[in-house]
Formats: sequence, C-alpha cells, structure tokens
Amino acid sequence: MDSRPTITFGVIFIAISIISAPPSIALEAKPKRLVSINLCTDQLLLTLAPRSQILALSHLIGDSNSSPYSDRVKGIPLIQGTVEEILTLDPDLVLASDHSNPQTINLLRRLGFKVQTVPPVNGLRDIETNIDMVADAIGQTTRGDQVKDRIRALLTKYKRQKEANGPVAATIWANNLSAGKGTLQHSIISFLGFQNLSENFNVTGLYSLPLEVLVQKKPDLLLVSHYTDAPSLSNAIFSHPALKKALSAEKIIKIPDKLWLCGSPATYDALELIVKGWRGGKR
Amino acid sequence: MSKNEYCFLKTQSVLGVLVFVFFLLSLSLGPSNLTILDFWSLGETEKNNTSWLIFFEIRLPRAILGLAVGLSLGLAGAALQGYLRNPLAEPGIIGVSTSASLFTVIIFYSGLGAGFALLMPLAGILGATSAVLVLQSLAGRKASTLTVVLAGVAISSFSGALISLALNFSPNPFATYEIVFWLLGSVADRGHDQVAIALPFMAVGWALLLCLGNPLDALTLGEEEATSLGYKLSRVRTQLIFGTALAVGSATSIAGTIGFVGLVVPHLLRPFVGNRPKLLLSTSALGGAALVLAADIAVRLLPFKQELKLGVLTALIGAPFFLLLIIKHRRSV
Repeated sequence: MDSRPTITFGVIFIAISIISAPPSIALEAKPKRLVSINLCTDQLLLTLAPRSQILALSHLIGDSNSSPYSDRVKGIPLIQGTVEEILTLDPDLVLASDHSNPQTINLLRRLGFKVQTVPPVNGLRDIETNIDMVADAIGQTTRGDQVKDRIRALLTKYKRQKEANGPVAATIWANNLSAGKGTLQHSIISFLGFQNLSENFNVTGLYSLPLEVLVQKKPDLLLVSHYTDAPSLSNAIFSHPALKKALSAEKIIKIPDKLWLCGSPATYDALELIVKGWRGGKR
Repeated sequence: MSKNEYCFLKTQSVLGVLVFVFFLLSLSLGPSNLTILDFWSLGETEKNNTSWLIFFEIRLPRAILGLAVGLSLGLAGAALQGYLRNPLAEPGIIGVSTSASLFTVIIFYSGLGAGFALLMPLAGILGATSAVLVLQSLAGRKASTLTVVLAGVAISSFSGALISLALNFSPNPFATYEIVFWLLGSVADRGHDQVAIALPFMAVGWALLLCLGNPLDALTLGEEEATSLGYKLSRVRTQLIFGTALAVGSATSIAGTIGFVGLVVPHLLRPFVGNRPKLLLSTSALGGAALVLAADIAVRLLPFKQELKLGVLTALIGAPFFLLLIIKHRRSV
C-alpha cells in the first residue's frame, strides 16, 4: 500500500522530467551577443552570424595582409582580445582558437563567460567540421548548411584524381618552411591531384625545405607565400637567382597567406588560384 | 727572422690551409648530397643544369659569405682589442653588431631595402659607426676595461630594446617571424647579388683595419709613446672606427648578428703570435674565416629537423668562453 504513491510519484517525476527536459534545452536561448578573439574564428563568425549579433572581432581581421575579409568589417569594433575589453562588451559567447592565450580563456571562464574554442584545421575536411561547430554554438545551423553546400559545389568543381606519376607541387614560406602531411596545404595539394614534394621525405607538419633541395627536385608547381605587396625578406628569398633559373616564372604561384592561414570559406579561393595558375602555366 | 715571426708564418700557413679546406668542405656539404667532385666533373655544356645551379648560385655565395663574415669579425675583434687594449672588446659585446642589426631591420622593415639594395649595407655601416662613436664618447679615451664593456652593454641593450620596439609594432605576425629569424644570424641561401653589394664595403674595411698594424704595435707601449713615434691617435681612431664599421656593419647587414667570433678568435691565436697586435690582425682575420666556415659546416651536419642558425651556434660556443675570460680577468686583477 505504502509503496504505491511512491512509485506513482516516481513515475510522474520521471515523466515530468522527460517531458520538461527538451523544452528546457530549447528555452536555453542561443547566444546572441558574440565576440571572437582569434583571426580564424573571426572569419567563421563573419560568414555564419548576422552582423547585428557580432559585438567585436580581433584586430587582425581588419589587416588586409592577414585577413581575407578585411573589407567586410567596417563598423564592427576590432579588439586586441584582452579580458577587460571583453568584460565591457558583456557577450553571451566568446569564440577563440585552441591556441589562444590560455590565461585569457581561463580568466574569462572563471568570470562566468561562455568560451567556445575551435581547433586549428589540418585538412580541407576540418573546415566543414569547424563551420558545423561554430554554426551549432551560435544557433545558425541552416546558415552553416548553406555555406557548406556552396563549399561542396566548389570542391566538386576542382577535384582532380591523383595520379601515381602526377605533377609535383610544393609550398614554401619564409625561413624555408614547407607544408608536409597533416597540414591544410597538403590536403589542398592532394585534393587538386598533385603530389606534395614533401611525400619524398615522409614528413608530417611543417618542415624546413632547403633552397638547394627545391632547386634539385624542381617541382612542377611552387606555391610561394605572399603576405604583403610591400617588399619583405621572404620576397628576397623567393627571388633568389638559383630559384629563378631552376623554375620558370609560370611554375611559381603566389598564394596570399591570408587565404589558407586559417581554414575558412576564403580558403577555397586558394584552390581556384592554384587551378588557374596550373592551367595558365601549361599553355 | 725572429722566433715570433717564424711562429706567425707557421700559424698563418696552417690557418690558410684550414680556410681553404673548410671552403671546399662548405661547397661539398648540403642537403642534396652533391660533393665538390660532382662539381669538378661537370662539362662545359652542363653549366646550366641543376648541380651547377646548386654549386654556383647556392653553395658558392654561402661559402664566400661565411669566409668574408668570419674575416670581418676576426679582424675587427683583433683591432678593437688592440686599440682599446682590452681583452673583452669585440664587435658583439661593444654593441656594434646589435646596432648594425637595428639599422638594417629599420631599413628592410620600412621597405626601403628592396627598392634600393645598396641601402642594406649602408644602414649596417651607419649603425656600426654610430655604435663605435657613442662608445667612444660614453667611455672616454682613457677608459678602463670595465667601463668600455659596460658602455658596450648599454649600447647593445638600447639597440636591442629598439629592435624589440620594432617587433612590437610590427604590422603583422609574418613580419615579426621573419625579423626574428633574420636576427639569429645565418649565411644560408644568400645570392651572389647580395654578396656582391656587401663585399666591396667589407674589403675597404679590411684594408683600413690591416693597415692599423704598426700604430697598434706602437700603442702597446702607451699612448704618449705612440704619439712620440709619430702616430696621430685621432687618425688611428678614425681609421679603426671606419674600418670596423665597414667590415662588421656590412657583414651584419647580410648575415644578421653572428656574435663572439671577434672575441674568441684573437684569444685563441694570441699565444701563437705573441703580444704583437700587428701580427694578430691578419692571423685573426684568417682564424675568424676558418671559425665561421667551420661553424657553418657544423650547422649543416647537426641532425636537426630545422637547420640551426649560425649565429645561435657561435653564441652557444662564445658565451661560455666569455665567462671563462671574465673569471681569468678577475684572477689577474
């Protein structure tokens, strides 16, 4: 006798909690006041969020040498990403990179802010994963799906099958750094049907590619870093006489660093540059 | 022939052979596994193929630059130690290299260097000259060893602070990254054009410094004695300042900061030639060339994923040596 009401109450309680659980999640409003403190999350936020919800982005997004979207940020406050700045903005969600200053992120969390960190991309696929992650966090999944559809259309357009003895491509940045396996650049090169020169050395991540090796291996396509039209030391290295003599000018394509420094919808412009440059060089 | 001069000739020939051997080794070493023998067997028709490019356009300028930078640093170190009669004087320690770096950084940072390539060595020379002039006015002519080193440290820190300032205000992360790596010092992947621009300046610097032999010898007797022997101290000083600035300034403008060579080399070689600044000058020049070439060979042999920078290696060897000298100096006082 005594146990009945208990069971009944128990059943009712469970039922209530099951019924009420979904509304309680749905009621938890998606963040509307958004701040990003990293160049890469800035780009995703600009693509996915309504402008009216973006309270501030990091200062680098306004720099035309580092950011592909520098012309789209007029009117959005750009911040250095300090806790003090964020406090005064009082956002619902702060977007940061996994590599953002851990002190800043810890302090923000301690102060009760919601911080979503986004990992760096190591391949083309990661771009879509990150789009999903940010779209989900800000409640813009429909918009996210639209962006991904556009991306997939581009991918179908550029995809080329990799051949065993296909053309070889290599990337080079300042200080002779080049992209090996497990990098966004490697993934793009492979996707476009090229062998990455780094496959000769079986290296993962960024590695140092001496000029001498580059001249000896003579890749069919060299993608050189380009971050500013102003003269720089890196430009001096790329105009080294040995490189000029070993590779004809049409084999060298300048890829603005801002396109693939982060994985974002702008990255697909780099694919277009490579495909166009390759076709142009073959003429 | 005195015993000193015999020793001098012997040391000079040994060092000459060393420089020659290291120069050939430097041409033979690289990631592409080509040696000097492959180079030798190239026919006339193959003068434009890849091996030729690697030897002529990549390894040759590197070897020439290593030799020239080493020569400049060794020679300037010996001259500065002789003139200041200070065993701790060295282009790096007295701030000449750092301020040459600062001026060069400002030039390529502002983008002027690319429009007018000659500006890079000129900036280095200007930086080096101002460092020596400031050192002179800070420390005064009859300064003690300690004062000169202190003044040098002050100049070096100030130039370092200004370089940090430039890095701090760097417009984007790539520029910062480039400057930081350039500052570490290296002779890798420089082209003939860069070497050709700096080499004439260095050569004039070497000539000015090598001609200081007699006055420096006279100076070991004391300033008044040197004056009575007919040497004008102000002229000697001007020659030293411009010689050092031309040699070290233009070397730094191409290779970045390569420290401690000017300190280590004269000390290692002094026992072989006796206390004769004149003999030490040319000996240190060859010794410096041999040391930098050897260090540049070593960075290519060390099994690191990313090549160790030349300036980092010389600093790693040189800094403990500097400490050792200070301890010795303290004991002798």
